[in-house]
Amino acid sequence: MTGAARERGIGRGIAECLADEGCDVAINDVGAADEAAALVAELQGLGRRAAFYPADVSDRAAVDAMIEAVEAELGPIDIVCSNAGVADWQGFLDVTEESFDRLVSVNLTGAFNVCQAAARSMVDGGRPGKIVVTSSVHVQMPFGEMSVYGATKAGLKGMVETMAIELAPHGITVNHVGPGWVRSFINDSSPSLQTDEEVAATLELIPAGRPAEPRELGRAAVYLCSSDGDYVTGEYLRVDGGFVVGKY
Amino acid sequence: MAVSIHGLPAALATAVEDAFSDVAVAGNVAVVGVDLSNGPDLVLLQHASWDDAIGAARDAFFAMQRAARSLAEGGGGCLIVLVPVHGLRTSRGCGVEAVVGSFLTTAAQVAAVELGSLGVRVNVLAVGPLEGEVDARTTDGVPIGRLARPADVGAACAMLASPQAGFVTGAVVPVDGGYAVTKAVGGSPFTDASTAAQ
Repeated sequence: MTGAARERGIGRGIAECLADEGCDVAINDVGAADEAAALVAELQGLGRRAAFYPADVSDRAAVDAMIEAVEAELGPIDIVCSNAGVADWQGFLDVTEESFDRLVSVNLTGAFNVCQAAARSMVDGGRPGKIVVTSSVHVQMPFGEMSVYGATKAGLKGMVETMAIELAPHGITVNHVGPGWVRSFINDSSPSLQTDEEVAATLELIPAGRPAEPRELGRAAVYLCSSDGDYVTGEYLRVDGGFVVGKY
Repeated sequence: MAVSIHGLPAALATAVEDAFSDVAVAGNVAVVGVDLSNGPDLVLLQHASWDDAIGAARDAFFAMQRAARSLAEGGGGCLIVLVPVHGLRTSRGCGVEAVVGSFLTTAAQVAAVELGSLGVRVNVLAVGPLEGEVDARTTDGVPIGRLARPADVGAACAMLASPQAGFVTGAVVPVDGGYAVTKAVGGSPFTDASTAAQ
């Protein structure tokens, strides 16, 4: 479970929901060791095995080492949730190479690194499995000032759909969940969500009238990772309170 | 009128130049493409091949940005981004094209959103399967009954650049003989390429 340590984060919500269903969980994040330790303790309190594996998903060698360590300590991986992501707000004409490289290396290459390494482990071990990628409503409705972020999420759709075709014969499903607005740390720096007025204006765009809770994404991931979802692959499950309905 | 071309394979670049040689086009035009090839399954893909594909996407993105700046400074114009049709409909063996095609399509649409007020239109042509890219079996899945030719791509560029398309921006136009609609016919024509890791 990558990108899982931060409080209020989608990854944490998914990790909690999977633990509720009986999963032992390897928590990955690039930092936030204190928050990770608290989450590990919380999941252990549920009777699950849990541990923190800090690694930068954009670093392929670090991902391979992490997968190896997880399997040595917690056992073979049955479920992978690739969730680590970063955002930036820049006009298209002003996108810097630094920002482009940061977003693409984490959101897109990082997901590729994690999904490929885990899929290889499942295939080599002859095990069925579930892969869930956190994409975004940007897959269907691009937003201004977020050309690279939106592009990375669209790229994930292409990756998920192709891997779904490749891995179905091995009993491995590959799907993506699409959060709309979640009150997570990643949105704290959104230039359009800084004032109460801006938050109210954004809520008016969401038919459900509220942001999502991270655990609502978690329940969607649980469905895709359960036997109920065995025949669901290459699919996109939006959890956005109707945010982009009628807009794509 | 000036036409700039970036990132296209030679045959496509020539066809685009030819298409603009005898048509009336209002304003300046930039055409940006990305040169990718079919590969193995993503699960088998070598990391260097992934990095090459991301590098190609990066090169195309910043070429789009430079072109858009130039068009905006010139008072407006038309930016056309050519992506593989697999960005719309993936197939086994086309993972890299699906990822990069989807990536550049969304980048182009955001650019269209931001640059409309500057008089810059941005549209996407989803192209393929091209002659030479796949074997003749692929025509089973193409309603028009043949593979895409460079001249088809050039003509579509001229269409988007024409005054008649002056209100068209953020569009994704398949130039694929209908392949994106019916690609399920005949399964994947690309699986031969998927058996060997690159």
